[in-house]
Amino acid sequence: MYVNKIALFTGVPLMESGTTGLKGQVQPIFPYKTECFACLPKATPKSFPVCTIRSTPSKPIHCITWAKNFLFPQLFGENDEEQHAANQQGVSDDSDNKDEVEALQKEANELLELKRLIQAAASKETNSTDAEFVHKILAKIFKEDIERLLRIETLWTTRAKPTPLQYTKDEYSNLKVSELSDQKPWDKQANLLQFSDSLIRLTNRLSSEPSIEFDKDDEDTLDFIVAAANLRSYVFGIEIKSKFDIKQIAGNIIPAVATTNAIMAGFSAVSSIHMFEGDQAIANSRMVYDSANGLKFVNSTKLDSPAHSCKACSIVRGIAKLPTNLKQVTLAQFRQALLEKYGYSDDIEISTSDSRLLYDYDFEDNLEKPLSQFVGFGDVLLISDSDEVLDHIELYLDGHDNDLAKGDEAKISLPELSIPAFRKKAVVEEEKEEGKQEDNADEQHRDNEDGVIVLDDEEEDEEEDDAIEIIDDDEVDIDKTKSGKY
Amino acid sequence: MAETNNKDTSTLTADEIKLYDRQIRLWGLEAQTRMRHSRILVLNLTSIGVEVVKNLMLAGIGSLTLCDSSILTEEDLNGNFFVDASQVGQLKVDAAFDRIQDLNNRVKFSVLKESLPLGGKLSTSNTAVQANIDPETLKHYQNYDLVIATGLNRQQLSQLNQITRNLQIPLYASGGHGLYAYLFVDLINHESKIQLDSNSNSTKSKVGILNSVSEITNVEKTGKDEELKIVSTLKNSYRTIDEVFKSNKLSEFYKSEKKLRKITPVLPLILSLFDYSASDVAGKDQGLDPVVLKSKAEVIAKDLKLPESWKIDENVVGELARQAFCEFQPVSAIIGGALCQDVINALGQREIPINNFVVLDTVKNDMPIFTL
Repeated sequence: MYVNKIALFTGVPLMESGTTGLKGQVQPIFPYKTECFACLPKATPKSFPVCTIRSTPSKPIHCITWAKNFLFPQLFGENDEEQHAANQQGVSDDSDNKDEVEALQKEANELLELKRLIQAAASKETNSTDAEFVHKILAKIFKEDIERLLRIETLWTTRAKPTPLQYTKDEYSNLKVSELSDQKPWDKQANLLQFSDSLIRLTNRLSSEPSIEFDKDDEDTLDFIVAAANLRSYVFGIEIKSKFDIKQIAGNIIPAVATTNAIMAGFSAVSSIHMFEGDQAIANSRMVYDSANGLKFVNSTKLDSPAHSCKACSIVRGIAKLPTNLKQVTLAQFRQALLEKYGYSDDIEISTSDSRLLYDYDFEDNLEKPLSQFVGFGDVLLISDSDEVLDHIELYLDGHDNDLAKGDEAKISLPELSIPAFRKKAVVEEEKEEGKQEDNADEQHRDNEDGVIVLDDEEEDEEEDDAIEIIDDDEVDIDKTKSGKY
Repeated sequence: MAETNNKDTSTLTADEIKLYDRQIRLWGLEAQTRMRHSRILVLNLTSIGVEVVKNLMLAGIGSLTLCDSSILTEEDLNGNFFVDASQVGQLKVDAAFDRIQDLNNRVKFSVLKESLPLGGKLSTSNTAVQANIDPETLKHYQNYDLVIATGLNRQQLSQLNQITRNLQIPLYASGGHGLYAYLFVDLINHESKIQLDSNSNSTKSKVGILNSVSEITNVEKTGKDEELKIVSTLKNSYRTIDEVFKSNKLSEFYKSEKKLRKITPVLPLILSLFDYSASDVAGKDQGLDPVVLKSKAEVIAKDLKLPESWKIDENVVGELARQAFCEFQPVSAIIGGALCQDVINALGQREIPINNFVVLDTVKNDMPIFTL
């Protein structure tokens, strides 16, 4: 999405390609002339309502998501207070079942207690899987919490009831962690053993690490997630999965193979030839994607025009070249340059990409301040026509090149743009809103490479409140494919 | 190379599972195990050969034997990332050896520096050589589970195909001509167990003949309702390269004249190029004579029963005449990738392999699969 946007700012054609397993695609993008990366809908993220994760799981993925996104950060994550508050809020907004809300809040409070238990245990190293706190945690998560849920009878009128976990210490005392298979699902005893064992390992690490985050390649954390998810599955009568399978789901592993990568890289390289065919470039270019049809190895189609509703390429963009010392340019000068260049009938609004208003006709406080006070090179400014004659534009700010002719250093050079007529405000507002969320999601993708996001409820509308999303992040794959990490 | 895997255990080691993690997730442990046990012979380190060798080494096959007797020239450098300019003049396989082995030390990699005999007398006609194959010739091939040949002409491929048929070894053949390439597959008889959607009404969920080259021989259903799983056994039968040239199957898969008329001119043209060898264009800037190439293609179009209304595109004739036997790395990457993916599918027996001739046209990014 970011590279796509930069391609739109610069007008440079982009060859987008990526693979997932045996599937792949190559899409030549001619900015504003053909469909851009954002024009085509991407696979919609699977999302689960919070109550499915917290109270009524019915599939292995629900239990894995619970173990990874809820239980694990609760026990080993940082700043518990904040997280605690967020949990409370999410639940109370989401559910109309009062009993369920109360139960979940109580559960969360008690988890905080468990975290303190773990922290206390961390200070006095232990190696015994029989430690008291292990049993307390097992009892609390897989027995008491479940019993509490069982008391909310409305939850179980149409669902099978869970069975609180019953076990004795002797059940798994003669098993060894080292003998467990990664490929075959573990039975209840093995999961109990692994839960206790990984809990002890993680607890001991807390004496030297302030917090632990889940990482599919961190065996301790993976073992804990596998065992916790499976024990929960066991309680809810859901199929038990192997460590190998859970690693793929929890780690959001995208299978990748040399053959598909070679095929798509080949199409990408050979398709780039068309980009040098001048007038014929677009007509000769083809998009390539995998085929399920027995008569073709790949499908290819001519390039489409940009989607009318595309959030990315329905806004006109360009690069503004400014003096290398931004202190020398005041907002007033920048505004004047814009008015002259694009022939706005009266006045404009200037705001930053994070929706901070810098100037409009009744907000002139900033006019004499230098641009450097608000933005730097690499930032984007949004310009709107106060008279609503011309449409919004976005300008990417860049410094003048070094080889600029003398005397031009202090000038503001704005790009040649053909700005379309203003479109109805309602539509644009909505797009802006969506665009903002998308940007936000983008940032989260980068932080959170495993692609599982717990969305902040504040940013979502009511329906999607507090959903847990699994993003099938095409972008991440592509980056990896290109940088050859696979 | 003859000896089989010293450990004939059917399971992979924990290290191997870790190393091949990403691909096992794609095609399963069983397919990876079969690959670990397969011995593959690759003939000719052409640009496509380079891609094939790379993909097979990375996939983790049991052993790979590469046969090429040619000397590395400057022209080869563009299409071969295993070698560099300082090695021009060496035997190709010597120059490339270390970098190939470095890709994966678990694969038993070896080279043959002399061309393998193809048996039979070299005849000047294009008709199949029906002579009995010399048992000595067969010995050179009998210890492989699969043969992949690149850059062979019609006669060489025809002879090789008789050898692989005689020994019941699957054969893949491929070659590139500038922006065009082909892939030929002869798996003789192949079975795959394919998993179908539980609500699938496809003909593949019933025992019976699908078309003249494939049939469903068995359908297993396990579980009920939503849990229902259908696994069908699909049997594919293949034709030799000699049969491909006389195939009458196009009209079976392209049922209307309109569809037949749209069949790419690249198909008969690329089949016509089997009559030539790389040496026919060596040193000629003009490439082949387009008039001769066109008339050959028209004969083949007739043999393949293309309708009268099918017309050859002069532009494509010109391009293929000019580009014949030119190697272009991106094209090799695509066709070599497709070839190896199909080898993996054939070994894995869970996907349906190609049956039996693929044409790649990267001018149009078109890649039809023809059953010939």
